Amino acid sequence: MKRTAKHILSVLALTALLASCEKDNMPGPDAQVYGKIIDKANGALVETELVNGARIEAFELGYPTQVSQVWVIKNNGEYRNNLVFSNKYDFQLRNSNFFPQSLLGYQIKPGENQLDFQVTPYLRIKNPQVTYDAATKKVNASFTLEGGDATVRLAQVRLYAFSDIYVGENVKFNITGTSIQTFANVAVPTTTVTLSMDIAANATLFPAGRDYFFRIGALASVPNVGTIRHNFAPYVKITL
Amino acid sequence: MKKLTISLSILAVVALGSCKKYLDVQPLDRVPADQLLLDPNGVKVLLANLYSRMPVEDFKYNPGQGFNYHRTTSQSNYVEPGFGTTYFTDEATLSQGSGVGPVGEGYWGYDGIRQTNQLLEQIPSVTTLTEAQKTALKGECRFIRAYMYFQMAKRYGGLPIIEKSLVYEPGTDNADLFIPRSTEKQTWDWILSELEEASKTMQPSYTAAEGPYRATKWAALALKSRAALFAASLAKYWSRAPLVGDAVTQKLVGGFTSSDADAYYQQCIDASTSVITNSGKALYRPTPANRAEAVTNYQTIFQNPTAADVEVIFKKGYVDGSTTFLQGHNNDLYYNPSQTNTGNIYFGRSSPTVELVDLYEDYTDNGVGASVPLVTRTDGNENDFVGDPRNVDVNKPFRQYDNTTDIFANKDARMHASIITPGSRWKNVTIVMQGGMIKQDGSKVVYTNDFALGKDGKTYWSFGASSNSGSSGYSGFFGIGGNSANNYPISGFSQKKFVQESVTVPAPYFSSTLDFIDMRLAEMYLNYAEAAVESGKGSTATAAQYINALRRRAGHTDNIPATLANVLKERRVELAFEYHRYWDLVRRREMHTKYVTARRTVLIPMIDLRPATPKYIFVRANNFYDEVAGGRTFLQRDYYRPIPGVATNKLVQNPEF
Repeated sequence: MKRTAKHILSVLALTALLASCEKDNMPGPDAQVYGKIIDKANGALVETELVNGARIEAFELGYPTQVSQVWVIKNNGEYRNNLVFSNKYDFQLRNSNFFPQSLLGYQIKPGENQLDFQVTPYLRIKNPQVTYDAATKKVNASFTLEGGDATVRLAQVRLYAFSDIYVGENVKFNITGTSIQTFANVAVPTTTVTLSMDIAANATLFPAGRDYFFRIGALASVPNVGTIRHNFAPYVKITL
Repeated sequence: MKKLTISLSILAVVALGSCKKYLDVQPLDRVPADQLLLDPNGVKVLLANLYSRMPVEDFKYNPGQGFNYHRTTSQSNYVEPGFGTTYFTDEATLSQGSGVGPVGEGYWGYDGIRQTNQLLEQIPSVTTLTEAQKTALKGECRFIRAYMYFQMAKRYGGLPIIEKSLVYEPGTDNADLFIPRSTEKQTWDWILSELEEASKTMQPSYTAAEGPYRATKWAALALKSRAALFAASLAKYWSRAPLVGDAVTQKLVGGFTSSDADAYYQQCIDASTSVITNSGKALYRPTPANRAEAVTNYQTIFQNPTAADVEVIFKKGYVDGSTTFLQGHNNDLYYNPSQTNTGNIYFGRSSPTVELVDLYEDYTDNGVGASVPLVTRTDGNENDFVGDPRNVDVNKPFRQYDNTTDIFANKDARMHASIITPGSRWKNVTIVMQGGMIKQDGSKVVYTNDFALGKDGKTYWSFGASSNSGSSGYSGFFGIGGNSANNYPISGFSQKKFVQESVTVPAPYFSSTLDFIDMRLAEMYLNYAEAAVESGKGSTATAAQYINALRRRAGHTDNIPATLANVLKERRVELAFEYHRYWDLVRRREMHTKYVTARRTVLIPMIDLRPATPKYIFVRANNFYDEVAGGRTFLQRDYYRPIPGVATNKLVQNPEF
């Protein structure tokens, strides 16, 4: 009897709770924003990474306190946000892998909006070559570097490897040795840089017969720009 | 009859009481402020409340949740372990795995600050205290308030500084309540000057009963030394991890100059010197006759702080939380290895890293003072950390030992007093922490318990024993990667500091009452030395004298020079597990470069059954859970935590939040 009473009570309570759930009548996000982060010097996409990579800070205007929304950028330098409220926005592009810039009071219309950003990356990785040498069981990388402007200096270059396309500084096999070179913020070298990764010495990370993804990354050192994130070359798929 | 009388009298009181000012009834379940302040003991009650609200990073600080953390609404509820910032650093990992910083934003201490401001405002009207007592009490309140601000400034940078209790006026816009953030420099300057002013009026000592539990002027100066070193390091190293945004432009974070660094280092030197020379404090047993005595002395400080009060400047006490709700802590329960567990379901939770063990000096290195890594190899390569030890190549040139203790024999006394090592004696039990076995045929078993015959005909277990419970069982590596058993250190080590060897603490939660030492003289020595070496102010000779005094207490008889590397190393080994390391890495801006998908390291003792008599090898490996997580990362923005509630309190948010 007591149990039944309890059941009835809980059903009543649930009914009361559910009854109070009403869909609000506010309009939902009505705009979609997409675009590219483009190197203004050569029109190439500025590569980054999903995890802790370059980002767009968006501030929707019209509220007493602006709170930042962080829009992530895909590894290849494109982005898309399908749930945006049409309104005026401030955009701050900073703490990324290109020189900071802002776009203030930009009107996002209902529906699709294409918004590309023309930027200057801290570092450009030119002529990237990543090849597997089956004889030595090494993956070799070579490239040249170019600074975005004269203030840019170099902190690190690295060849990354991982088992999927999201390879980068924050998604990688933990391999050091000749695949990484760290500098004390030196001038960006004009000569070709080479890196190599010993596959044989890290055999447990590379079971044979699968695809692996290799990517060259470089970290700049630039004064007064906040967090500096890596610049990357496009990944290269190699079957080992 | 009696009951009736009582009921009638209560009725009468109530009835008569309601005759006048019906709506002005004072609540009967609490004492009104003016009544409390009539009695000196009432003032003590208010003060005790403030002490209990102090954000001390002790055994009850949970970096994800906040200070004085008890996740329970009744004593029988599920209790989440407290755990301090140790597990966010290279000192240790939790046995169930733990990340690397940042601490949660769970401290926005303006409720405690408001209560302190209220007491400060009421003190002048207390008639039962002498003027001298009032002045001392005010100093104590200002110390507590500065302590609260210090903990917030470490987390948020520049803060709204509120020195009076604010009043909400209904019906107005309450513009006065919206106090903006001061710059980070102004905030540190204010904290330091408050501590200086407080120290001038606080008492130099208290009765034996109150002892170092109550803050003296030396506690204020010791905190000043700590805060000044923090501010100085920020000023010097902020640009290692620069940020951009409104908060930076307005100097709410950062904005220091190099002359600020010098000035803060000087304040640290002055405050430290004042405590060292004038407080009457001394190192506890500074000249042991031998290493064994050094181990005992150093261990005593942390498991019986009352005996070492000569060194303790400020500490926090506890009463048994299994009988008094919301009191006590769990250190003895959580950190005793399985073999000495008294029955709680949590035990063996701490796994100190081999990086920390390597850091301690070796007594055979006279005159150098450098850290000496454990010798695990015959080829001298001590940088070979295997990602997954289940794949270890057993034919690498591992040095073979006859037992699991010789490898640690010459290590600094402080290592033996702070860390339980494999094969060492703890509570009269030989602690077994072994992670694998190489069978006669060269095949290996790692992270799983299995048995095999040795060439001597005896049976050996990969975990060193057959059972995971009882004093004759083993204490390490069981259940690694599983969901249920997280009670077995995964690093080959277990924490000894702040765990009582001579006292058996029963199993119920919060039964530990061991004091937490918040400030002790050794920290003043190290603060002085770091400030002197970093700034060139003070005396390098004195700095060397201080770090060598700490080494002498640990049984070293040689002297080393006060280089920055020596001072920082000495700080890490002397203050290990005292919750300094995380903030040292933060204030020196070393976290974000040290932790970029980085792994903490462990040592896996393994028995090798290939020789005629079984031998032991020690495999260096990455911490299992750091490896599974793909390494640990600390972001540049995380040196500051997000300001809570910016949409309503109108404060400027910190960068990148």
